Order: sequence, then C-alpha cells, then structure tokens
Amino acid sequence: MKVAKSCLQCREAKKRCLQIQGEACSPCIKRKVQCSFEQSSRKQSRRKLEPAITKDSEDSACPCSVLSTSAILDLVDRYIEYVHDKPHSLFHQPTLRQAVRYRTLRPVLLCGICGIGARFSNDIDVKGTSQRFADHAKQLLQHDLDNVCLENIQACILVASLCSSVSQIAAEALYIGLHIQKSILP
Amino acid sequence: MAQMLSLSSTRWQDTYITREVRRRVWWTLFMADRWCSSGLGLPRQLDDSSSSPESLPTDEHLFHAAFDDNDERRPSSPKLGLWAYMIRLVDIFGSVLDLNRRLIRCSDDSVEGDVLALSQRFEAWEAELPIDKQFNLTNLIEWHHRSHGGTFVALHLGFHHYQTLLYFQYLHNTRSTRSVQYAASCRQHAIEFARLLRVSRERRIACSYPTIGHMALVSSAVLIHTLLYGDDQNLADVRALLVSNFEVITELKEQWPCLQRTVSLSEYFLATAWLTRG
Repeated sequence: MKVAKSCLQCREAKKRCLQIQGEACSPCIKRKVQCSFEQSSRKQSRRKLEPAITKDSEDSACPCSVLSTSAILDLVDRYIEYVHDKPHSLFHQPTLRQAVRYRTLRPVLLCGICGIGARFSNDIDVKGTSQRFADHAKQLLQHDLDNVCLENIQACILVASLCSSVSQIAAEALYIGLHIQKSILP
Repeated sequence: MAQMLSLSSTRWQDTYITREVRRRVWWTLFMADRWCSSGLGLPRQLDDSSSSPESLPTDEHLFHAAFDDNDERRPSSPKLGLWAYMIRLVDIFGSVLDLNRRLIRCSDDSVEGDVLALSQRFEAWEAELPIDKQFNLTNLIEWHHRSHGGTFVALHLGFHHYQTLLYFQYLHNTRSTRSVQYAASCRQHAIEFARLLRVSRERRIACSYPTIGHMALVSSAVLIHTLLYGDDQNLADVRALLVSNFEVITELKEQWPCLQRTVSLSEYFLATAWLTRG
C-alpha cells in the first residue's frame, strides 16, 4: 500500500503539502480549496491511499473489485439521480465524482453509494450486487466505528438507508441514533 | 458523533464546499431524526432548531456547480436552497407528530388550538416560499432542467403529506364548522399529493426512495375514505389518483423490497375503490 504524504490538491498543483494533523493543510487553506487530507484528529497524519477498484486489492471481498471504473461511475450517477439530495444530502457532487475517478473515495462510502445505485441498474446482475455492497459497507463501518469523522457519519446514513430498504428498521434507527447521541466535546 | 464533530458549527478553516457539506450532513441527521422518530415512536434526539438562515443549506444548483472555493460562479451571499425550505417544513412536521402522539395516548378535545397554530405555520411557510420554489408546472420543468427536479418534488410532496397527517383526525370528526374545513383540507392535500406524484412520474422526474411509498399509502388511505364517505363530485378523478398511487408504490417496490407490505395495502385500497364504482 502506498502511503500518501501529500494531499490530492498539492499533488496536482505540485506544491509542498504542509499538513496540520487532523486539519486541512496550510497551502489548501491559503488557496481556499477543499483539502482531501482533512480528517479527524484520531487519524495519523500519514494516511493510506485506498483505491476504489484494484485487482490486487487486499480487500478482495469488496464488490467494487469486480466492476470497471465506468460501471462504478454509472452506479454513482444513479445514486445521485434517484436518491441524493432527496431523503438525504451528503456530498458535493463534483467532488464525489472526482474522488471516484481518482480512486480516493473511502471504500465504505463507495460501497454504500453503489449499494443504493445498484438498486436502479437495468442490469439484473448488477442489481443483485446491492446487498453485497450493503453488507460490505456495514462490515467496513463496524470495524471503524470508534473513528469520529465526517466520512463515518456519511457512511452511517448510507448504511441506514440500505437497512431500511430491506425493512431492517431497528438497524436503521441504530445507525442514525448512534451518531447523534454522543457526549459533546468543545 | 455529529455533536462531537460540531457539525452544526462553522470553523474558520473550512472552505465553502466543506462548510456546505458539513451543514447538509447535520441537517440530514435532523431530518432522519424526525422520520425515525415518526416511524418507530422513539423520542427525538436533536432539539428543535431555530434554523437561522446562516445555518441553512444554500442553493443546490450553485453548490453542485461550483467545483472549488475559487469558482467565480459562486456568489458571496448564496440564497437558501430547496433543502433549507425542506428543513423548515420538517420542523413543523415534528410538532405535528407530537400532536398526533398526544391524541393516540389520550383523546384530547382541546387540540383545535394547536391544530390552528400548526395550520398557520404551514400557511406562513408557503407564503415565505420564493417565487422560483413555489409549485407550478413552469418551476417543475425548470428545476428538472437543472437536474434538481426530484428535490423540488420531494419538497412539495412533504408539504402535502405533513398537512394530510395534521388534519387526518378530522375525517371522522366533523362536529364543528372548523373540523369540517379541516376534513376537507385533509382530502385536498391527499389529492394534491397524488396529483404531484402522478405528474412527476409522467415527466420521468427521478424521486425514488422508500418514504415516497409510505407517504403515497397515507394519501391512498384518505382517497379511499373520500370514495366511501366523501361528497366530492369528482370521484372518477379520485379513483384515477388511487390507481396512480398504486402504480408508483408498485414501481418503487422493485428498488425497495421493504415496500412489499405497502403494495399489499395499496392493492386492498384499489380493490375497495373498484367495489365503489356502483
């Protein structure tokens, strides 16, 4: 696994990335752009790149590993068209699409989004992968639940939607409630 | 977790996009808190919010068009988006839920004052809606053209659904002049809900999530009541809207298996509607 020392924006601009741990890096702050390294204070400053699709991925159980980038993007587009910004609003759409193309989107988010998007596919085989995406997203989320970050809240909402879609209503309430009812830190 | 991250607060280092994303995630949890509370009878976890304009989501079209914070298309003072008005509406919905729960626990004849107050809140909400967000066919086509037709439809479906729930208790309680008016309002909102759902389907405006099915079932329950007990002249239209609701619920079930029972109930309503043809 590669270890990324610079954020995506600094790499593209060929700038030196000076990251403040857990926050946006100073060049991004100065340029007023979204920093892809912005994350919770619990994470280390060095962060592993987690490609959305790779044949030699350690996470071979991820349903994304068998789909092409264009197929993944199709599922993301279907999610945006049919669901995003209606019952929930979680992403900036251009940033989301870019993250999928550049394979910087966290797998838990990609699986959650694809799990919903797959429900709208015209391909029966792809449609049938929805539950696999949902199960994998749940697994990834459960292994990382103590990580307090925006991405995990977004993932919880996606997983809650997937639970409710198969009548797991109590599980839906759990995933929503889990991230609301916590002790308040300044 | 959302409170630990202070999602509802702004941070000095946030870019425009980051701030807007955090804001939208926070309000998504607020909406979900109310809907989960409605569906499961659980107490709400997030307090009612004063929802100041600075904290509400901005215009969807501009937000999703701006690629980064330096985008010149982004105005310095963006106007409130569709989601902002959805949040204000769901704020009122929370109070409707509280009222209906009170009625379930103990039949309370003194609720007319509360119903009137909520009715006025809905009227005020509608009066404050900017021209481009009011429901009419021109605005529907325009929002659909901007790829936000589904969000526009969701906003107005909620408007009709919440008021159907508010006045539902009066369908069998017409003791006073006001309660007769409320019963008529319930039927009218159920009809408008079904009409909006039908026109969005005819125009292929994508708005497909399970809650639509649940809301359509409530609309159908009122429509069948209208067929059985109402004195409306246009029963053929009501019957056609029942069929349309059923078709939408059946299509939604293809994506969302949780709607199987909703389909069964809707079938029952449809069968009853056929029996009333006379």
